[in-house]
Amino acid sequence: MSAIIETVALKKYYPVLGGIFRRRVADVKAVDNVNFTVYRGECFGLVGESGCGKTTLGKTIIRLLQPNAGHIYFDVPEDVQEEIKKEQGNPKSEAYGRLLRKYDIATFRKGKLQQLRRKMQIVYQDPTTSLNPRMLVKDIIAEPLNVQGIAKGSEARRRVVEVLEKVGLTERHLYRYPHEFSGGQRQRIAVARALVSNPEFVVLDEPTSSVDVSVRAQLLNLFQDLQKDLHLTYLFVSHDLSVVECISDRVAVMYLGKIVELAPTMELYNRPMHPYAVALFASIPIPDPTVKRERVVLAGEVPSPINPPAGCRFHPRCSKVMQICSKQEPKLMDIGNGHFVACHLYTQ
Amino acid sequence: MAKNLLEIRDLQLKFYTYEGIVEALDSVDLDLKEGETLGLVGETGCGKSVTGLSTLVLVPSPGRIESGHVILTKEEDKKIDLLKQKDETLMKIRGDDMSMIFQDPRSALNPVYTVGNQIAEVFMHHRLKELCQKALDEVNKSIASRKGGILTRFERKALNKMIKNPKSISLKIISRIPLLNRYKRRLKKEVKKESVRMLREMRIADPERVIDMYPHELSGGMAQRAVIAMGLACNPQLLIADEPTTNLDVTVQLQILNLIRELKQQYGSSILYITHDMGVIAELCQRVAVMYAGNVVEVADVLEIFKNPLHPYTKALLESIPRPGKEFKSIEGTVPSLINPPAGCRFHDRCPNAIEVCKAVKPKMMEVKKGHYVQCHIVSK
Repeated sequence: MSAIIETVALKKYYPVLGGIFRRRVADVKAVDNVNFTVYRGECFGLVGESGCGKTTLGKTIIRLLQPNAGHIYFDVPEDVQEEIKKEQGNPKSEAYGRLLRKYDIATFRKGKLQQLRRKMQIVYQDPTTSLNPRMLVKDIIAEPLNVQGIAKGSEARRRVVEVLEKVGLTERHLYRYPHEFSGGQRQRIAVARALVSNPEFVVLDEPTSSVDVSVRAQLLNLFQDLQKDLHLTYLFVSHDLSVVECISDRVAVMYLGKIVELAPTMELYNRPMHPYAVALFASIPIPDPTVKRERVVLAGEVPSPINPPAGCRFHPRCSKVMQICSKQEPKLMDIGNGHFVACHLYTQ
Repeated sequence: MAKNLLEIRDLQLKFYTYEGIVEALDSVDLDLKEGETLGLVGETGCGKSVTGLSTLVLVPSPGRIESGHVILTKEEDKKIDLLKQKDETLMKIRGDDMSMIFQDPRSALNPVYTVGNQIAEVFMHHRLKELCQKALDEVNKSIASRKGGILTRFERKALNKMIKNPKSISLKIISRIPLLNRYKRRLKKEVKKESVRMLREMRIADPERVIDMYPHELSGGMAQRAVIAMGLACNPQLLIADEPTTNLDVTVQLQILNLIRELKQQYGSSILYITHDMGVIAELCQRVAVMYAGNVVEVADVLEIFKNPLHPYTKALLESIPRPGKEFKSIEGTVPSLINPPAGCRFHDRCPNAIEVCKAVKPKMMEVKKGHYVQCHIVSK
C-alpha cells in the first residue's frame, strides 16, 4: 500500500480578533498537530462531534485552507518519501527545502495549486448551497474543465455527459437548474462536478447528512461503485458513525482538533480503546429493540477550542482520568494491528 | 389495557399552494395510549410533523384541516374534540394538557429574549394563580414576622386581587404606580425561582447563570434542554417531540434521550415521538407508527415492527439502515409528489409486489395480529 496523503504536525488555527485594532487576541485551534496517512485506494473515515475540526482538516489537506504549520505530502514516490525522512533531521539543509518545495503541498502557491486541484476534489454537505442556482447543470459540471483548461466545446460536453451517466443521471438532465432536482439527485450533480476532472483523491464532507435514509443508501452505493470503477481514494468526513462504519476501511476519531484514535474500521468499532471513543461508539442508537446495553453517558460538553484543557484534552470529562492526564499530552501510539491511540492508559 | 389519551380519526389536511393542492394528510388514524411513547417514523415530507402540529391545532397557513377529529381525553374521561374548540380554550389546552418540543432549538427560541424570560412566559400564562398563591404565602410570612410595613400589606391586597381576577381594571392601574406595584417584583422572583427549578430538573449545570443567557450563548444541547423545560413547565399529559435530537451529536443525543426517559417516568406523561431515526425508535418507544406520503401504513409494537414488519414500505425502510458487512439496499424510485398523489395505495409504484388492485383502490387499515395494524392489500388478504 502506498500513501497518497501524509500529514506531518499539521496545524490550522483560526484567529480570534479583538480590541480596537482588531488584533489577534487568541486562536481557535481547529486542527492541532495532526499526523496521519491515507493510503491509495482506501476510504478513510473521519468522525467526531460537531466543532471537533474534522471539516477543517478535510479542507486543509486539499489546500482550500492554508495551514499554519506542518507538512502535507501528496502523491510522493516511495524513494522520495525515504529521502524526505532522511532529510527531516536537518531541516535547514538545501536538499530538504528543495524536496518540500516539490512535494509538500502546504508550500504550494497559485499556479501549482491550481494544477493540484485537478487531482483532489471535494463534495460538500448540502448540495442546495454548493450548487449555483443560476447555472445550468451542464455549466456546473463543465466548470472545472473550463477553469483547468482541460477541455472545451464538444469535448467538454462529451465528458460532462459521460460523468453524468456515471453518477446515474442522463443527458436529459443537462439543461436543467439545480432546483428542479430532488436532494439525492442534487448531491449526484455535486459528485459529478467533483469527478469530471478525473481526480485521484476526493474529500466527501458529510455527503449524506442532508438526505433521507432511503436516498442515503443509494448515494453510499454510488460512492462505492465509483471508487471501484475510477480507483478513487476517499476521505469520508461524517458525524454519522453507522454510515462511516459501513463505507470506510480505516477510521480516525477526532476530539477538539486532535486525532485520539485511528484504526481499521472493524477493529475500532469492536474494540475502541480511548475512553472518548468508547463513549462515542456506545452512544450510537442501535436499530434493534432487543438489544439493551449498559453504557457510559458522557457528562458535560465539549470545551472551547480557544482554550483547550492542558494535557490530554479529554481529561475533564474522562472517567478513567489519572494524575498524568492533566499534565502531559499523550502521543498517538501504535498498539499493534495498525491501531493507534492517544491515551496515557495504554502507554505503560 | 390502558385508555386512549389521544385519538386522531380520519384526519385530512391540505395545503393550498400556488402549484396546486398538496394532500399532506390523507385520512390519518392514530391512537396514543396513556403513559406510552409512540414513535412516528417516515421520510421527509411524509406528514409526520404536520400530524404533530395538527394535534395542537397549529397548522401553518396555507394548510387547512379539511375533516376529521382529534380527540383528547382529559381527566375524568372527559373527551373533547380539539378541532371544534374555540381559540381561547385551545390556548389553555396547549401547555396545560399538551405541549410540543420543536426540532431546531435555536429557531424555537426567540433570540432577543433571555432563556429565563421565555420560560417565565409559560408560567405567566398557565400557572399564574398558583404562583400568585406562592408569592402571597411569602408576603404573609413576612407580615407574620412583623417585618413588612404598610407596603407589604398592600402587596397582599394586590396579590389577592390577582388570584381572583388578574384582568381587573384596578390592578391595571396599581401596576403602573411606583411603590404600589412592588407585588410584581415579588411575583417575578417567584417565577424565577420556579424557572431555575425547572432548568435544574433538565440537568443544566448552574441554572442561575443560564437563566440570564441569550439563546446564542447556549450550545445545541443546552438550548434543547431549555426548550424541553418550556414544554414540561406545566406538566402536560401529552408531549409531542418533533425530532428533538436530529441536529445534535450522538453523545448529546444520548443525554437528551435519557433525560426524556427519566422525565417521562417522573411526570407520567405520554409522548408522541416524531423522528426518522430507527435507532432512536428502538431505544425509546413502545409502539411505532410508520407514515408514508400522508398515510399511516403500519402500527405495531416496537419489537413486532423490527422483527416482523409487514408493509413493504416498512420492510424497505428497515433494510435501508446501513449495517456493516451488508450491501446498502435502497428503496427504488422517489417519494411521490403529494400535489398529484398516485391513486390507490400511494406506495404502489415503488412496491416490489404491487398487484392490479393496488393501483385503483386505497387499502384499509386492518388488524392482522393483536395490536398490529397494516394498510396493504396483499398482507390483509
